[in-house]
Formats: sequence, C-alpha cells, structure tokens
Amino acid sequence: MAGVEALPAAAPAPRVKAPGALARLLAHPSFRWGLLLFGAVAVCGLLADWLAPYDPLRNNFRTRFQPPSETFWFGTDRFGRDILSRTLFGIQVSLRIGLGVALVTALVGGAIGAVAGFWRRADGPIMRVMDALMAFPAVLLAIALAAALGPSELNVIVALSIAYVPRTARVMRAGVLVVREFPFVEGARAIGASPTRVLLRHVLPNAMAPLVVQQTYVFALAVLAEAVLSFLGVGPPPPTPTLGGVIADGRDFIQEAPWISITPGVVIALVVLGLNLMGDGLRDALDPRLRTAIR
Amino acid sequence: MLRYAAGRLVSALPVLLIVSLLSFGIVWIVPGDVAVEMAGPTATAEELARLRERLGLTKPWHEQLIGWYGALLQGDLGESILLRQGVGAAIVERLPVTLSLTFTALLIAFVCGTALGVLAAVRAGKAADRAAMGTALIGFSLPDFWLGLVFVYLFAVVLGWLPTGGYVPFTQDPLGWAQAMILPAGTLALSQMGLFARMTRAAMLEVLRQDYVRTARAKGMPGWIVVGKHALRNALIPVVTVAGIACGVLLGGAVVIESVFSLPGVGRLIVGAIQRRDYPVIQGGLLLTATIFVLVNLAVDLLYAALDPRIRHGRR
Amino acid sequence: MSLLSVQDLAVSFGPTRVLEGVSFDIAEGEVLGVVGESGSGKSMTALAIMGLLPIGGRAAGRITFQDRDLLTLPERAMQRLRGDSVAMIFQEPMSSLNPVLTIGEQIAEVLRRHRGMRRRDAHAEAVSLLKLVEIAAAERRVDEYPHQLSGGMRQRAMIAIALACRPKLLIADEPTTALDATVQAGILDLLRGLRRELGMAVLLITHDLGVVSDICERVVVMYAGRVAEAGPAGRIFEQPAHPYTRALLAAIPRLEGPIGDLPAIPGVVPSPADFPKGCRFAPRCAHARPACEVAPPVLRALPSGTEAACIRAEEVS
Ligand SMILES: Nc1ncnc2c1ncn2[C@@H]1O[C@H](COP(=O)(O)OP(=O)(O)OP(=O)(O)O)[C@@H](O)[C@H]1O
Ligand code: SF4
Ligand SMILES: [Mg+2]
Repeated sequence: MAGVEALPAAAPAPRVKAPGALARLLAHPSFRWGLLLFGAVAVCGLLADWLAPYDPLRNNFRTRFQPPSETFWFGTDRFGRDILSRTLFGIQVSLRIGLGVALVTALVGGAIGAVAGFWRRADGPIMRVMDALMAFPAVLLAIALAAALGPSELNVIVALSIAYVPRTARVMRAGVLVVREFPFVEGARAIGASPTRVLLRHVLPNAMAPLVVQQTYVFALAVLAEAVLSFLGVGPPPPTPTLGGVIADGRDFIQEAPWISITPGVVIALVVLGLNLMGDGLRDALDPRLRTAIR
Repeated sequence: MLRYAAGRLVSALPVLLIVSLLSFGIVWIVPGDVAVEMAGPTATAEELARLRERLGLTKPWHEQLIGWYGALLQGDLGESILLRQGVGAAIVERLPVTLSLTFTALLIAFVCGTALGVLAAVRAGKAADRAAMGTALIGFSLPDFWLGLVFVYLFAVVLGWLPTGGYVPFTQDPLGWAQAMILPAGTLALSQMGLFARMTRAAMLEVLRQDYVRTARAKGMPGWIVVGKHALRNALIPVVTVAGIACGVLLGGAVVIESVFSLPGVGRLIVGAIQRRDYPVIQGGLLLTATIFVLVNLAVDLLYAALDPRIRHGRR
Repeated sequence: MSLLSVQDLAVSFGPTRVLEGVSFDIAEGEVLGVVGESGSGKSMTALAIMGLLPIGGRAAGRITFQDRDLLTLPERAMQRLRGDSVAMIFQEPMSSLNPVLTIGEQIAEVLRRHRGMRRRDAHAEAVSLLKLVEIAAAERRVDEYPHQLSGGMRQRAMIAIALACRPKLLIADEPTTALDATVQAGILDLLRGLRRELGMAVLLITHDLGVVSDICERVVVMYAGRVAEAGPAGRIFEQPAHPYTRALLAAIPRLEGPIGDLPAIPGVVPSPADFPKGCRFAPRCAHARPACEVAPPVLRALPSGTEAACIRAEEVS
C-alpha cells in the first residue's frame, strides 16, 4: 500500500481556503461516507468506558469460549473475557497510535521533505537516506524496531513513525519543489526575504494540501500496521487490549471459536476503510490535480 | 540502454551502503545490554561473557563495524545464536518459500489489478467502474493477516478444499505447491491489487484521450486491440514503476502471512528471531530483504526502459 | 454517382448542436477542399464520417458511402471500413503515432487487419509504403519509434498508414498545419502525387486557401457549423457569392498563406451555445439586413455556378 512514491511532482493546490474547501469536502460522497464510518467507530472507542458491558481485562473461567449470545454479543475468549469490551478498548489504542504516527510523521517527515525540497544541496543526501529507509518493507522495519525498542505504546509509535516517515518526506518534498518555482516565491526572494522566512511563510502553507491527504492515508496504514505488530506480539504489552492482539488470541481457536478473531478484524477494516475514503475525498476536494497521482 | 542500466546500478550503491549500515545499527537502539536481553534473566555471568564474545560486543564499535563489513564482503552474515547455523545459510534455506509467495502474490496483484483498472477505465462512470474501484478500496482496507485467518477458517476448516497451511516445494509437487500457495498469495495480493487497479485506471483514462488511440480506431482496429494493445501498453508504463514498491510491501506482508499460514519462510524466521532476540538473524534478514527490494527496483527500472522506447534511447 | 454523399448532417453534444444541415458530395477520385475558420466544424464533419466523434457526440442525417449509410452501420462493419476503404490522417503528427510501437508495426497492423497479411509480408509491405511516401532509408526507419522521426517524417508515416490498404477516400484534417512551411510544401506535393497515382478521392480540410486553389477541384466553405458556400474551386475563387467567402478571399492579398485571424472580418466565430437564430454570419456581415436574422438561409444554386446560403447572394456578387 505504498503508492505515494509514484506521485509525479504533485502540484500543490493554491492555499486551502477554509469555507470553500470544507463545503466541497462535505459535499464529497467519499468523504461523507468515510467520516461516517470512521466517526462511528471512533465514537464507540472513545465512549468505551461507558459502552463496554464488561471489564475488558477480567478473566472469568466460567464464561470461557462463549459463542455470541444475548449476554456476550460477540462471544468471549479463552479467558472468558468479553470480545466486545476488549474490541472497544482496542479501538482506543489503535486510534491513539494511528493519530500519533500521523502527527509525528507529519512533523518530522514534513520538516525533512521541506528541507530537502528547498535546499538543493541537502536534497541528495537526505533523499538517499529516505530511499534506504524505504528499502526496508515498512511493516518489517517497524516490527524489528518495536522489538528492539521494547514493548510499549510509545515505542510502537516511534517504530511506525520511522517506518512511514520517508513517504511523508517525499510528498512534502515534491510539493515544495513545485511551489518554490511559483512567481510569488520568486518575488519574496527578490525583495530580500530570508530563505527560512520564504520557506515558512510562502512555500510551506502552499505545499500543505498533499501532506494533509497523505497523512490521512498514513493514519490508515498505521492502524493496519499496529494490528500486525500486536498480532505478532511486539505491540503494546499485554494485558492492554489491542485489536491485533484480540485477533491473535483467537488464532489458535479459529476452528472452535472463530468469533474471537472475526470481530476485531471487521472493526479494523471499518476504521481503515473510513480513513481511506476520507483521504480520497480530501484529495479531490483539496487538490483535484492529485486525483490521478496518489495511491 | 547499457549506459542507462549502468547509471541505475551506480545510483543503487549508496542506498545499499546506507541499508547495510542501518541493518547493522539496529542492535544499537536496544536499550540496555543486548547480551542480557538475548540470554534472558537466568543466564550466568559466564554465559553472558561467552555470548558477548560471540557477538563481538567486547570490541569497540568501530571494530565491530569493520568486522561486519569485512564479513559481509565475504558473504558472511554472521551466526544465528539459537539455530546454531550461519545466518546466510538459514535464510537461503527459507528463501524459496518467501520468494515464491511474494512473486506469486505480485503476479496475482498485477494481473487482477490491471484488469480491474482497465475495466473501470473503459466503463468510467458506470456501475462496473464503481464496482471495480469499490473492490480496490476494500482490497487495501482489509487487514491481510486477519483475512488470511478468515480464509483458512472458510476454505480449509468449513469447506475443506485447501490445506490450512504448510509448504510444498514446486519441484516436488507442482499441484501441491499451487494448493499451498493460492490462499496465502491471494490474501497477500489483495492490498496491492487495489493499488494496481487505481493506478491502471488513472493511467488508462489519461491514455484513452490521446491522439494515437484515435489513430488506432481510425485504422479500424477492433476495440479490444485499441484498449489492450495501443492504450494498455502506454498505460502500463507508470503502473510498472510501482511494481517495485509493491514488491517491497509484499515482502513485508509476507512476514505476517507466513506466520498465519505456517509457511517456513524468511518472514517466519525473522519473526521467530525477533521473539527470541536473535539479533544476527534480525540484522541479516533486514539486510537481505532490503537488498532484494533494491534489486527488484533495479529490474523494474530496466523493464520500464524496455516498455518505453523513449527511455531506451536516452530521451526524457 | 458519388462516392460519398453527406446529407443534412447534424452533430450535437447534449443540447448543443455544433453542426447542422451540412450536405456535400464527393465523386470517385475527386479532391474536395473544406475551408473555414477555427471552430467552424470541419473536424467534426470529418470525424462524423469516420464514426469517431468524441465521447458524447451524436450524429444525425445521412452519410452514404458506396451505397451504405455509415450512420446506421453497426460498429463492427464500420471497423472493417475504417483504415480500409476510408482512411484518415490528423493534424498532429507528433501525438498521432503510438510512442511505444515501431513505425513498421503501426503500418503492418493495418495490413494484417484488413488484408489478412502475415507478419513478414506486412513488414515488407510497410517498407514499400514508406518508400511510397518518400521516406529515405525506409529499411531502417521501419523499425524505429516515432520519437526518432522528425515531424514531417511522422506525417509521412501517418500517410503511409492511411494509404496501406489503398482507400477509396482519404480524409486529411489539416495535415500540414503543425509543420514548418518548408515541410508543408513537401507533404502537399506528396499528397497530390499520390492521389493522382492511386486515384483516390480526398477530403482535404485546410486553413490554407492557397492549397485549395492548388489541388482541390471543388470547395465547401463552412461557417459556424453550417455550409456557407460550395462549388467548383474555379468558380468560388473567381466569383464568390457568399459574403463570408468574399471576406475570406479579400483577407488574403494573393492566394497564399493561411487565413490566420482574418483581420479583414471583424469579430469572431460564435460558439455553438450562442449561434444566432437566422444567418449565423449576420453579426459580422457587411451586407446584413433585418431579414437575414429571421431564419437560416438555405443553400441554393446561383447563376454564378456555386451554391450559397445567403438571401442576398445575387446582390452581393
Ligand atoms: N468534445 C466536444 N464537446 C463539445 N463541443 C465540442 C467538442 N469538440 C469540439 N466541439 C465544438 O465543436 C465545434 C466545431 O469544432 P471543430 O473541431 O469541428 O472545428 P474546426 O473547424 O475543425 O476548427 P479547427 O480549425 O480549430 O480545427 C467547436 O465550436 C467546438 O467548440
Ligand atoms: S444572409 Fe444576410 S447576413 Fe447572412 S451572409 Fe447573406 S447577407 Fe450576410
Ligand atoms: Mg479541426
């Protein structure tokens, strides 16, 4: 699910005007559906403390391997824990990590990309390092980093951010490369504005749109990758309920108790689908020229 | 063409150098003592000292680095602590599984993805377009390892059509190989299929507007030749460039898919090494996967030139 | 008996009619010139004949070619006709050839499709076609890609593709507009020579009245999606009846060079959305009267030997 690399010098949009862009965004069916899906799942996750019918951590050996029923809507696992409750709390973890990775890569990747695109001499070395980072499959790199750093939610965010930072940097760089040639940037230079000021005041604001789109996709990728990490046991440490972790819990019992793994997987799919739809909507609304390029 | 190939090769070298440096550096980010982490809390001081000696941790870092590159140049990736086997040998043993999984998935993703994309572009705006693009979107929104589990449950447990996992070498039993591959490769292919479908659709829409497509129709070529030969040959050029990237994503995905389907590949080796902190294997596995990625992308660049005569002749 | 007969052709995109009431005939072996300013509907006419209108375009009326109505012909039958008995070359030689296929392949393909030739024979025939269009070193060029050829050579290659099956009718839509002046002359000479040699009819769309007087036997003058005047080339040049034709001719001191912006005629061609109700030339016509704006004037034969769509044609000429 890479793709942004294929972005051929994505032309950044003229500066996003809030009211017009927002109206276009909400009028876009992809974005509306995406927001609905993502929003519904996110709200369920945020209200987990109230919505969860049971304590997600409490073992109860009398209710082991209960199939879905009126008391346990989505069944229980081998420790008798309620799948619904664990899933609801797992959503919280996924969203925290996804959002964290999206923000961290936006800041770090955005800065790297801006520097590489703006100062030509820095471009070569920086992008070689980014190329090298991208040579490692993102998921594999994140697994190795998370394992080396040790199990914690923060380390998962760090590991995934390192893995996904090159994509963001590339998108930002491509945007900056285009914007820096715009006449008003030349103008600002001509009247003697300092390079840093030109970059911060004139180039960056206009190179933002592709980044916003990209980070929506990075959010989705991070949610998927976090699930993989948790599934393989290098995610946030137990007993934290994670979506990938619940799937892993059900893995050895897929024959006898398939419900354990199925529910959290569907939830992941809904979150990611929602985010991807929102990304598509953002892409069309913020910058129609990106339409053919990304993803 | 030769100059183009040589140029690509040269530009891959610094990337490979940084890749090898990063692979080596992964042990340095381990907080605390690597040896303690590897040997576990029960290890005696003597065992720890032996382990440090074997890992070369007793030497200063620059000697370690020189040692790593020295061994690398001789094709030596070090010793696995747990397998009591050379890392290189351990990987080579498992490579056929991973490569057949990855490339089968790439083939499925490419063929199905471009087909979906062409269909969507030819029927742009119609129901078939929406169905194809919806499939693509769902394809890269589903967690593949979870889908693998669901497929195992469905096709192996409920229907009993396919094995739940395991690997059969192609040379031993091609049919068995295909049966063992179809589910894992198909699952793995799904997300990249979506990517190919989107890229192909966008490229086809662009190409179908070109004058030379009108020329082909003016020559009386039937629709399928206009689309399949004149348009697709051009539309595939940008699509092929992402095949290399897709291959990298698939290599990463193979790590978890191998675990789900119990395939004895490099991915499972690495996951096992990660769970047991077998750092030489992690380093070697990372280095090897990244090198494969760089080489595949080199191959893709050459394929790109083969598809586009303008590049072959040094224009553009 | 004419080879191609276009009767009352209309082309519309949704509610907008870009072409209306277009009628003309081409006899076997005849060269018909179609002239008019940009946007007057010349290309649409050509594409309607080929059945290659852009997406959303619909044609009405009758286009009879060798006793068959092309507008009602099924797509399969149209495909067998295109590139075989009717061929077309386009304005843009740079983009009209497929960049990933060799010139030879692009020529041979037509021969294999319509003549059922085998690969090797088709390739050999492609070489002789390149020789026919006077491309030097044809044996080498045949295996080259379009980007290796100059603009003039590409247009020659396009002509070779069009002539591969010896069509009865060749439609050439401004075949020289995109080329340098010196190259233009060469291409026109080639076309003139080939049509004499092969005896095909040619529908030549052009901006260049010099070209028309040079090689066309009859002329159709189009304005804003309609035929303004039609007739033998000699008559049109000697005694034009339609004020638009007169203005066209007056705009060029001698019969040379492209029409360009027509500085002598004030104003521009209206776009299809706001065509006037009556005579479409009325807003720019020096002879316009209120009567001109009532209904579109019909094309009628005049004593001067041409047909013109102007109610005041007799007085004007
Ligand atoms: N795809 C389309 N959809 C709607 N209208 C179109 C389309 N293509 C062309 N037109 C309109 O049809 C009219 C005739 O265009 P046409 O291309 O036939 O002109 P032309 O005489 O060939 O001009 P030129 O000398 O510039 O080639 C124009 O007014 C144009 O705006
Ligand atoms: S009909 Fe009237 S307006 Fe039209 S060309 Fe003739 S004189 Fe001019
Ligand atoms: Mg035209």
